Amino acid sequence: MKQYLMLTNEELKRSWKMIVAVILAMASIEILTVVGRVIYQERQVRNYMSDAKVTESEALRSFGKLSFEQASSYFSYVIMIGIVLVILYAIQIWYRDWFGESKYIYRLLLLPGGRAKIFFAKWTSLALVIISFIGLQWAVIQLSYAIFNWLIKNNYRASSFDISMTLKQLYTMNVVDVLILLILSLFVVSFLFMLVLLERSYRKAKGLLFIVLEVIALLVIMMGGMYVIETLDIFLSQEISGIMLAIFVLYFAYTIWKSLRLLKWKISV
Amino acid sequence: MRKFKFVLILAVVSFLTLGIYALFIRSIDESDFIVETVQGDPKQPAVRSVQAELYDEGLKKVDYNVALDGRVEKAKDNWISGMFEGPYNENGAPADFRRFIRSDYVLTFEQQGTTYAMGTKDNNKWELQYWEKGKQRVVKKIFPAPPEARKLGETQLSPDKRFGNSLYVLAQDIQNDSETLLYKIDLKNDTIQKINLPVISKGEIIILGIHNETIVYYTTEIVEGADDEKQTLYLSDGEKSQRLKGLKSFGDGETKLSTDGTKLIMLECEPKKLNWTIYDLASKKSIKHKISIPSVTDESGSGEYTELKDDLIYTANRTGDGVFNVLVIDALSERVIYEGNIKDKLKRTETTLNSLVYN
Repeated sequence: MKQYLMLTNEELKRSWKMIVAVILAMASIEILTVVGRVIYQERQVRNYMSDAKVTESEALRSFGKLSFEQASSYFSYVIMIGIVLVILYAIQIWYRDWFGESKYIYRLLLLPGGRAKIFFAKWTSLALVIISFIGLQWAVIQLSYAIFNWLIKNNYRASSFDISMTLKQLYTMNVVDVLILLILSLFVVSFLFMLVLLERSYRKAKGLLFIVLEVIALLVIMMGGMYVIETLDIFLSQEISGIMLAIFVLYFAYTIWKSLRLLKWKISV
Repeated sequence: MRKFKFVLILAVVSFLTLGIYALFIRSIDESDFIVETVQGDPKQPAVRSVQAELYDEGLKKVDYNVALDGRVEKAKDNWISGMFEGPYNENGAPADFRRFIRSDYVLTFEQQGTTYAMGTKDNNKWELQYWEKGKQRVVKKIFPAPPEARKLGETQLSPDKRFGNSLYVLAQDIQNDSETLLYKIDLKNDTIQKINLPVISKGEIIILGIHNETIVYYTTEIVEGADDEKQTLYLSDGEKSQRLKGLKSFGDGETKLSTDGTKLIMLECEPKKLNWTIYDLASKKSIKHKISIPSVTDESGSGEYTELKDDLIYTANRTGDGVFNVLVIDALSERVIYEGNIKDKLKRTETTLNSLVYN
């Protein structure tokens, strides 16, 4: 357990600067877009007032007031970039061990005890990064809202706190959904880990071939499952949900099992 | 501790930020409903069975079922529970029955807590299943299809009305424009009897009400060159039909036969008022009624729901932020048998009225 925690700590330590830089950059961009949107709105209203020779309230009637939902409309794009970065990190966390200057992977593989702790250390690092990402993003939304309220004139502001539809998909105001989101994210991470380990196990063309086969197998399971369910037409919607959930759990377990097997039997120093 | 510094930092950040999120969720106001009775007894059977379905469309999605005697049920869905939700009429029904009603060829109809499902696969036999929620039982019956119905192409069977032990069913060929046939199924003796509707139509037949041998129905026909379809209203005793003239509004709003089968009630909703006409089938005379209803139409929408059921008009209308007025009116006597206000103590504008449901 201690060795696993130390390995996890080591993984995070090696990426720490990158993680902090990305989080700070994303938070800064999001706060700046809110500030920029408020300034832009106020400038537009002022320009309209001087051009059309109307009062402030008339200009606001024409332009409409600015809500936080509008001011934070770019957040979803930043979050998408964040998701892409997490995906890239899930791949980079393995490859850096092979392609780094010190060939760190040899030290890892030669550690005493099972190799599962190497897998789970990286997996836990990603889990912690994802949870922090979800939580910090919410903190940034709240901070941006406070800045929005402080910055904007009262008569320019519309309604109370609300977020865009895209953000509402992520923040459904249900804690159980956060847990489900985390499980889904970890499934994607596990699948990517399996693909990387497949490539590292067989290398070059053979490795790529196994990756393609694994992706095809996943598509066959998904599409084939849906086709069989629709063709049979005997299942209730709740039963279909149950079957899909069972397939998901089994495949999730398979990706971890397969990765551990590859790490134990196929990857050699 | 220094050995796990980075793990601890991220664990603390995760815990704190998700804690902020959880606290925020807890801090979101949820509606707190009370029901204030203006007049009438909320415990009388016709009122007690009514519940208002209200949705909170704010940040936190909450569904409320508010009974007029003050009981409030709250439901919050997550992604997983949403996947396992079934349609309203399937609630509590056994899997076999639910499997039957989701077949392409089966149509359902609900009356007084019983869901009737009927269909035919091959035109040779008719399958009927009904789920009695109160008794928690499913009744299954198979009948040989009546001879004239076997001649139809792809037959759609629509259970339409239960009266005593009789279930009235419409049979129509959905591929060809054939006439609609009406049958009475005796659920006690398991027999099917064809009801002759002397005036038939190549178009659709819509049954407005059935009481013993009295059937009120109208036919619709597309008139070439005209935008609207022609609707003709008939009264039948199973032997002969007579056309009911001078009643123009039967197709516009909600029209039903009174529970004693002697009158036709035609209801029309207008902003802030309800109009209805009682047509006496024996004397052929009409009496018009109208009643003002309290409602507001502002940027939050009107939030209105009206239904005619068992000679009673049930109407619910938003009268202010988080306030919904519910009226139950005896359509025949124009007497308000119940009036109450469902009030959200927090006066939340995000709460909207979906419908009234009857248990």
